[in-house]
Amino acid sequence: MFKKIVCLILAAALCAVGLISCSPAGGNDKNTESLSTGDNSASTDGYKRPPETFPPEEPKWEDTLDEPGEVTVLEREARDYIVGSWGGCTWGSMFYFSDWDDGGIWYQDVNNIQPTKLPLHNDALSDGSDDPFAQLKAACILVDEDATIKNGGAPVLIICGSFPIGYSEDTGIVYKGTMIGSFDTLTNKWTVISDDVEGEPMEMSMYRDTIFFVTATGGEDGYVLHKINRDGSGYSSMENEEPTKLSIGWVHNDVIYYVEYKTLSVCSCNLDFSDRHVLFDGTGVNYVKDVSYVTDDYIYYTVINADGEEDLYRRSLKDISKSEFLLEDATGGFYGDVYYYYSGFALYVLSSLNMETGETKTVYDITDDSDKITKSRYAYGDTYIICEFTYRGSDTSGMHYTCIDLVSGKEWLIPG
Amino acid sequence: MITRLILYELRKVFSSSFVKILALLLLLVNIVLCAYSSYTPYGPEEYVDRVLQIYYDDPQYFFSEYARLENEFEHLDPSSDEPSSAYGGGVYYDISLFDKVNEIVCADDIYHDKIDSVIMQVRGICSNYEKAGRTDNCVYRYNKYVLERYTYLYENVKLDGKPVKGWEQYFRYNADYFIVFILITVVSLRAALSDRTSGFYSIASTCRNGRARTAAAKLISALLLSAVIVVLFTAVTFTVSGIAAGGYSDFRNAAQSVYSLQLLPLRLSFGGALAVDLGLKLLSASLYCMILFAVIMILKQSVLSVGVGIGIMFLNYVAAGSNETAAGQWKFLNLWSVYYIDQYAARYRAVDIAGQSVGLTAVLIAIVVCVAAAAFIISLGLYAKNGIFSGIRISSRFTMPEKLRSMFRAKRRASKRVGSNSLVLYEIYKQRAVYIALAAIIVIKVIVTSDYYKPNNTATDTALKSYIEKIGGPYSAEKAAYINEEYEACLEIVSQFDTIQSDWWYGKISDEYYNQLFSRYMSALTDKDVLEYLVNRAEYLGELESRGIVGSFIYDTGYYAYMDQGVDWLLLLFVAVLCCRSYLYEHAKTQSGTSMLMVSNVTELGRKRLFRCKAAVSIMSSAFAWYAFKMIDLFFLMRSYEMPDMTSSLLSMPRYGETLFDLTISNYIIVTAVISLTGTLLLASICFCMGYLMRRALFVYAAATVVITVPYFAASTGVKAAGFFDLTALYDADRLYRLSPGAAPAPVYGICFWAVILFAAAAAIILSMRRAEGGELI
Repeated sequence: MFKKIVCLILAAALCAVGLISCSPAGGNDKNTESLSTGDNSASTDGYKRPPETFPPEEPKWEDTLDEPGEVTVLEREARDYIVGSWGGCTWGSMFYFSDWDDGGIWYQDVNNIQPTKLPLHNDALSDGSDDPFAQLKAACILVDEDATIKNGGAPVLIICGSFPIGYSEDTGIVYKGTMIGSFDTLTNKWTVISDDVEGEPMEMSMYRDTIFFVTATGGEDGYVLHKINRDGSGYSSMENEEPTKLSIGWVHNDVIYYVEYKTLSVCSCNLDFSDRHVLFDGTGVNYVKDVSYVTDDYIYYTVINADGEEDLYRRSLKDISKSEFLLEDATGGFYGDVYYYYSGFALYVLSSLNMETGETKTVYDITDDSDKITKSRYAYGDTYIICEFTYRGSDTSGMHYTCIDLVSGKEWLIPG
Repeated sequence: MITRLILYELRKVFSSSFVKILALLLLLVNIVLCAYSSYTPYGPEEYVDRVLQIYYDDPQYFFSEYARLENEFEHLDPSSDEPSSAYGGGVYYDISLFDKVNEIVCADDIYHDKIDSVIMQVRGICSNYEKAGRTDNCVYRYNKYVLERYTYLYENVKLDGKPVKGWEQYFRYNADYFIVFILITVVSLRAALSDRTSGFYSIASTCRNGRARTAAAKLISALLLSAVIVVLFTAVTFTVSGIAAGGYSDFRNAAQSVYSLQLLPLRLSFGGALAVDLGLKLLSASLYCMILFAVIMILKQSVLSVGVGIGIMFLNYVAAGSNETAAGQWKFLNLWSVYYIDQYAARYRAVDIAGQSVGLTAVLIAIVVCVAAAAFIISLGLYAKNGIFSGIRISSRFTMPEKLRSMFRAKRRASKRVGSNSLVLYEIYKQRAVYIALAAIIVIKVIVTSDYYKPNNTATDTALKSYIEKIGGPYSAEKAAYINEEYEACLEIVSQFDTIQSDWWYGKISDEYYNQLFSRYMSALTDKDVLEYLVNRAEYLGELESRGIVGSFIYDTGYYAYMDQGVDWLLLLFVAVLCCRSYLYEHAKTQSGTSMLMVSNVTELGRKRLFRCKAAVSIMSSAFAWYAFKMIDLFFLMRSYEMPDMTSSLLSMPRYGETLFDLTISNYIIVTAVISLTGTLLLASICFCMGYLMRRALFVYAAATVVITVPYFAASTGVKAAGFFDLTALYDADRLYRLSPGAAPAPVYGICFWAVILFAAAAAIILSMRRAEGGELI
């Protein structure tokens, strides 16, 4: 009897397999071109939609660019202090960026450009809920250079942002506070460093093994500075006597330099947030905006001048009372000891000033094209710069990047 | 021989009226849920068909008309114009209908575009890995396989460009998982444990090969029954979905036509996908059946086994929703995901095992083989009379060494006998399985509650908290004026932003200034909703003041989270099972044909004491469970939320505006807690009495389910009168308090409600007591 049952089951299974495989639609016949066999099916071949006539075609901006080149990749040691970026960051020839329109974190190899951006987690099949970074709100990223070098050069990214935890009919997607994690591009492994810090992330940076980040919990005045080690240990936050907005500027020789906007003063403290004191008062007609860079000798900072534009100053750490004017109308940031800055609000000219040599260079000048193109959001490489640009007056959906080779001066497109 | 045993086991399970009635009920539930999920109310199908006909008649005309409509839509002024709806009969916009038809007729192009973008990305990833010389790792291997598989699909799959009917609804339906698995649980229990009370167990244990063959027959019969259940429910789901959707489109069309299966890694028709879906369902169900069978064999206890079974179901369901970033593709190796093709096979899935990219199906097969082997070994090994150790004697050829067995016997003899003559303790001992289940339920409760009381970190709530910090406390005209001014200022910023953006775009204002304005605009967008809420609140408090009541501005997010938690079904489940079961097992007949109740009923003292003892244990246990559950709620509430000022008037919240009493919030919370406790105890009394008055478990559980759930669902669907018989409203005291506040004084409804419930409970208790005292029931 048992054998009969087994035979019956086998026969049923064989019939089922036969049904599936024998059906003209699901057969394994490689010559079968179509799953559709109905004679009355109207083929869509030959009835493709006519080409779009609206809007009229505009001149292609791609035509103004060079053919993709190859940037020089330097081998160097890890920097002590790395500033996180909301736009993108680089390591070697790899460029990592977050997409503000479609969400997610993506990458391109500048020396091996692909026709489309590639997902950070290297899984092209994932989308929506399947994509770990798709719904990440505000993603600040940086390359953990020390871990990357130990990883054989495969970048290890530190990512900070708000991850969605649900959906509310009243408020839309509900986000968790601030989550920080590291992503190993070699193993594709995401490791959560911290996921229970209240408030929205505002900025992030890394000093040796320690990650510093600022969250906003109570609107404009409720900024809190936190720190946590790379391995998730040693979390602590700086307690403010009264609510304030603050920004971490730089960390050098185990001293944190930050701006406290309530009193508009530049302050410093130890890595454990002890020994806090005001370095200098930043109030006045020209009030301090940011600490941009600190060396053994100087503290570089920007101030907002009477015209509402940024000027670059520095003060000697040995005699903090005296300030030295460096550049006027020069909004920008440091990469190594080079200050990249643009003048005016339209970002038409990007220049650089090497603090060591005092040499000034023009990276690009698009003043002549100013009615067409604006550029912003930079990611700095050792020998190149990546800019995002929009094409004024046309469809600006999607993002487009250009890579500017600082050695050859060539500029080419990176599809984003 | 084993075939006969299997047939005998099947006959035993089929002979149970409980199983048959439960199967019928669950089948009905499945039909209702499936019909509800699949039914699509009358939509634009008729108009879509008309536009589709235009395409069939003249495709050139269709596309030119579509281009015209797109152009028209692009140049539409959204503030004054409305899109045309000549084809949509004035009901649906033409552009929407043409979009829909374009999606249908160009389905093949859309599919190939999607696969093309996947292939392009995968090629890029592989190229980068090859260039970096990192080809000896899982990511590269995974992408190479994806490239190969999807290139094959790109070249071989073709969608027929016809409307898809029915299949979307069938694959979308996913409520049958719990229904089918509950039935499998009951059937497996029946197959595994039915012999323990009938006496066959003892006979089988003494026979040569009796244990092993009986155990194998039981497991095989449970597996066969699981397969029958899955096939039956799938057939019903398929039929109902088809009827609800108005039939199925051609089953030979590619399964990729359904959006959820667009990335299906197999070249399958709908018929093939249906077969694969059924195969996956069978695999998942048999896996569950084997695990559960092994659990039953270990525990040898029905209630506990059901608890574990439900736990397995629940955990697998939770695992399916776990975080992708942490779990990766491993998270799809759970019973829930495997049960549904659009979960498990929605795309190609693989996991990293020692640097190799291993397809999820290979891992799944390995797991099934291991689980099957383990289940057979455990079931065969443990199905024996004298416990685990003698159970190892699978056949006469393998027995545990005498020395080893004597060690256990010696231990057993050496253990000191401890005990008590307390009826209460014995009652608790007898219900130990339910108390162990309570521990499991508490764990689930903690998980659910910690998830429910997550801190509200939304910008809106932060803004609300910030405003309440400024204006919190008793209402005053100045505070109302301040809120109104803030709201006006917010609206001003929002309304001006378009102009500001335009000015910035054309270079009239600087970036710095624009950034400042943009920052204010973003903050105003959040504040606008909060301020609108507060303006309405201020108006309401102003009206209260005119009635002579001083309300307050309070931060009520945490309060509402607590009060809107609703009915705690886990607690009700525990109380109902505990109390219904209290007398049930006393009715169970022993091998001598008598029951413990028959023995204890011989004397009046026996009847009374047993009744009192059982009633006391049931009530005390229910009260304890209520307390534990409330404490869990309060712990997570206080951890995540700030509570409003407890001395403020309850009427400060508009939802209580039409209730009669002006209580403080703290007093109200105490009142609701007392009502909730009373409700729980009343439910416990009713269930206890039902368990006593009705002998058959099926009737007791059915009656308890009807009494608890029917009024609740009737009330939920809007039958107001059902609210007066809704026991769950007593637990959710806030709902009771607010019952029909606008129509008549709330207490009137409250009193009516209480009268009905008290009457029912008192009647049941009196009847039970009379019976316990030996009097006539009627």
